[in-house]
Amino acid sequence: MALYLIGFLIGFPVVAAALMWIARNAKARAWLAFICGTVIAIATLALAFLEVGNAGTFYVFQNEYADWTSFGVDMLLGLIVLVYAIKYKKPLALVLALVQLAGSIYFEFWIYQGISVLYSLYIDRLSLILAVIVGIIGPIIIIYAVGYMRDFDRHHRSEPGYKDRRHSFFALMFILLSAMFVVAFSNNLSWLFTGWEVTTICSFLLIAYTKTEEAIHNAFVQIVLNLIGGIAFIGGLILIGQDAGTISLNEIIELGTYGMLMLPIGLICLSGLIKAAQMPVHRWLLGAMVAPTPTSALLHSSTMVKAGVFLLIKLAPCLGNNAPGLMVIAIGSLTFFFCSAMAISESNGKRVLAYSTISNLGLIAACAGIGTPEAVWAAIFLMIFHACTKGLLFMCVGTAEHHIGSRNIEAMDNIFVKMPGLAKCMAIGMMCMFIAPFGMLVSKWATIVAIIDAGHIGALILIAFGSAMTFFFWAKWLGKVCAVAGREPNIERNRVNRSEKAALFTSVALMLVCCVLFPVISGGVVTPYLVDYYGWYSMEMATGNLVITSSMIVIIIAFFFIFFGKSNKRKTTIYLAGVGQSLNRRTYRGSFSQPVEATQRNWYLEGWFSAKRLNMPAIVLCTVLIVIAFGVTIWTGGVLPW
Amino acid sequence: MVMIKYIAALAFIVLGPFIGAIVQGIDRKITARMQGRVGPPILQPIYDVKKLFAKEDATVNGVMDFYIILALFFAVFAGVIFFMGGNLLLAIFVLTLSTLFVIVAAYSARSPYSDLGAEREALQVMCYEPFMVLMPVAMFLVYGSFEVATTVDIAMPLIVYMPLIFISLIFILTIKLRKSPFDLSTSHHAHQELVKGMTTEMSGKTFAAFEIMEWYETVLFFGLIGMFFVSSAWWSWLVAIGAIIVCYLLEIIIDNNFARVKWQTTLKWSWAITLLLFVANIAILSFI
Amino acid sequence: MSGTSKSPWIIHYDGSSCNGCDIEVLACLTPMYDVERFGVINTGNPKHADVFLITGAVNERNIGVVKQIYSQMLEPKVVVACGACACSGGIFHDCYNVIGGVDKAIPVDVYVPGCAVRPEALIDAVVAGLGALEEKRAALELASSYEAKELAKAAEQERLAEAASQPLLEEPAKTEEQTDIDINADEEPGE
Repeated sequence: MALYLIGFLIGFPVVAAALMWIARNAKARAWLAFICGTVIAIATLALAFLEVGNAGTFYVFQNEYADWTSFGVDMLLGLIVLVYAIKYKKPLALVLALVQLAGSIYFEFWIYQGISVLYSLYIDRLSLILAVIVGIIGPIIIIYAVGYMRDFDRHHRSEPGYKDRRHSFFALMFILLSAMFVVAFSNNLSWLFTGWEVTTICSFLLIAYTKTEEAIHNAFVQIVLNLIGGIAFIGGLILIGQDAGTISLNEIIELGTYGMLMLPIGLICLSGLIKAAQMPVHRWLLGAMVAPTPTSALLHSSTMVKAGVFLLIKLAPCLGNNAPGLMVIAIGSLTFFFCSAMAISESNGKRVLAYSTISNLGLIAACAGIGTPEAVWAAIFLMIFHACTKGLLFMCVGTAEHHIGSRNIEAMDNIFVKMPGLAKCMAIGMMCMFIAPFGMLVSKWATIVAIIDAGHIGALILIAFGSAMTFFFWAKWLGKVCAVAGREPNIERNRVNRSEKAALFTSVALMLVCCVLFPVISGGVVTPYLVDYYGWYSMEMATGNLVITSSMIVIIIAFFFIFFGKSNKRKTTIYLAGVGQSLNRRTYRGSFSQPVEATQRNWYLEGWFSAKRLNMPAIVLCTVLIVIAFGVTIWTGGVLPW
Repeated sequence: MVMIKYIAALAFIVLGPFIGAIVQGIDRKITARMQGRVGPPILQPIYDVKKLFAKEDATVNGVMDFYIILALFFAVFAGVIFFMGGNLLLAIFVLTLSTLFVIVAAYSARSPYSDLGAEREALQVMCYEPFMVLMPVAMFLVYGSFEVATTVDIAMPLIVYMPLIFISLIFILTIKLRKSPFDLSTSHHAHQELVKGMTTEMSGKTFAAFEIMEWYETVLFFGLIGMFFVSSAWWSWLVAIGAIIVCYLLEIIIDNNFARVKWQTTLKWSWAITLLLFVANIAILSFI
Repeated sequence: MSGTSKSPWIIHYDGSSCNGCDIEVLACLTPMYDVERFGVINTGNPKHADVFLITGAVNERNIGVVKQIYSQMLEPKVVVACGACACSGGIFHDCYNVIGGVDKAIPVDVYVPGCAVRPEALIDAVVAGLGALEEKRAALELASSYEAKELAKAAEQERLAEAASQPLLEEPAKTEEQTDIDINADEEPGE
């Protein structure tokens, strides 16, 4: 039964994508997207209910057609990049695509032919978690996109050279989901690689969606960097095939725990780091911001980058005190530190979210690199909460952008009056990102515990300082959003699309449920997974503390419903030295009796934390570390003397 | 043993504000004497808050008092976790949550003065948060536990292992207590460029709740200082109380002798001290 | 007994004084007189203050400021007019732009004579103001405890009427705001 559901989850989004491609009528497409999304969500939940009690199953599934399909898709993807590279004259992308094609062909005909993979598909609780993230949050974002793209189309229709390509947009989004399911369930690394590359190419096409000069440029930045990751991956596969004669993920992980295959595992980790937009190559995820917001929401929350960290978490048992492990820890914690710092100086809401994504992925990567069960526990929860929160926040910023005309944080002044529902969603999402008792911070707390146990004091210091900066950049944005003053007209009622509203409220509910059910998820899914996988798991985060944090969330929610906005006190005006004039625009009477606006920008501390200042040293530092790590791996075989 | 925990928590909830108020009263008295004045009665803070409760109900918006209620609630919650001997890191995270609600309350007014105060308070959190995370970490490295209750069971007090970290705690507390030279976000002394900073738009009962929250926080910080001195010996509690008094007197002297510094200085110094003293302390620990 | 009379917080506003009275007001805070003995704090913030000390006469320029600060103070509150100018306009009373004493703008509870006003007189005035403050507080308590809500409503009506007649802090014209915000004026609402 479960096998059929897995097949359905991989196959059905492709069918849905085809339907999206065929349906050129917006109304029909909206209904189809809604139905297909719901079906995917239901199938995912059904699979979750069936399998959540099982330790994990490997499925004997050998199918020549599937192998050839996988190879064919690889070739097709390579060709797509080739065509685009030639069309837009990007030699670097062309060369890299050719290298990767050559690698794929070499692997297929010289390595893969001699290997038989008995268990091609598997399911365990971790892949189930990823599947649920993809299968629930993905459809929510797609449903959101229905409304968003209608507004997007309306805003851009008058531009010269604009062409309505929304059918391909939705098709790509569904294919992305299918590819993510492949990544989640493949034990055959060759298939996993195909899913991996499909997510890369889909992201590439989605980023290039608007076909503006900037979009094309950023899309090629993305594809060049991710092709490097792809080449590292295929290189790792070739090495594994030659040395170990197997490409089953479970066998490789087992060999890895004995300190073997360190170089190819390092290569695959590098590929994962690149996919997760870690430090030397974080630029591609920032560039991805040019795409319509649902793309960002999807890439940042449930797909693409999550594939990178998923693989790292999967490989965590092989990491730890060896060269690839230390590389992942160092890159992850440095990325967390530097990207948190750079987020302070950003006033563009989407870029702040992007930096926050990169830094949180860094945290997840660092946990995976440590490789102890506690660290993996933290990494899994960071992944869960990051997925449900970041999707929500991107959707909020997207809706705000369409209704207030800007994605700048300063423009969100007084949004609580203009769009109260949206502001509340945004505020709760932000709080979930950085403050106890919400999920992200509790997971960060577990991270700290895991790092101390593993004795990486350097990483710990980076994380302590990084989370302080995280507080600052979120708190000031949250404050901006929470400002309530004046009586500006509500521009939300009857204006925000129904699909957007539905997606936002579902996301908030989902996020809060996850936060409140934290102890249940821990006890019911994550801890059993770790016990099965590692054979042991000592809970550093006492369940008692989790219960405390959960009940705190319940208290906050209860307070919210009992007291929020219920004050019937007399309303006074704000103090403007006795010369205040208007509340809405916060003006006062100036020295010539003219109205003067009391402007107040947030602090961005550009002199200290700007990307201009920090980017170069950070990139150099991380690149050097990666080079050193690979040097050591090649020199010593990766296992360190201590 | 379990009973003692509940009694401690209850004592914090009931006695905490009175201790905090009296400490603040003594603070004002000593400050006045240092300036050659007589100063207000010791119970003056309590009179102030009583008066604030008798004021008319008025607010700039319908949400500020909600945030302040939450801030007060979580400040108490943090103290309860701490004095019940619970997880130190959790207590600190909850305290940060309380501060966040104050910041949001200040922002919600959308007044230039309280915005400025809120901005600075957020920056101050950024200044002291690394230390607040690293201190429990150091404690974990010494005791193998985040539980505050561990300090009572062990013969050697924490100060023996973490003297340098204790020094940075004193530094950080000056920021946390919003005392000069780090009274960037709000201050008890008025008519400065930010009027009353974060608290500018808080009035009546809302402001009273903020004051009470500060009392609770003060007691919680005393607990943090005391934590470094208590051990399994009964007399260590006396030492702890003595240490608290000495440290607070030191804070008053600092408060009265330094002019307010810029945020750049605050950030630079607090991070430098946190980092250097933590690393030095851990290095010493790992050698012995 | 509330703490009201034990903790009179002050906001001091200098209307158009020659600064003589202001110096004396500040002198009250110095070690010589140390009004903090009585719990007096100079808050500089109408939201916190109970006592409004005004020095200098009210003129065309500052009458709005005086009214706005007064309106932003919370009940119970008292107003103390400090010095001859604040009481009646003083030697400036027939200047072209001077309206007169503070009572031309807001109700005054205590008048303190003197040019400049003596710190002792000021302390006396604040103490006298405390009596008024305590009375007002008692009245406020009465109103909130049982007295007919009609009274409160009537007061609210009155205040609204007053607010409506005040030009300060008015709502800006609706039409202007609409054009300000509405970036998508041409599109239809929702689906």
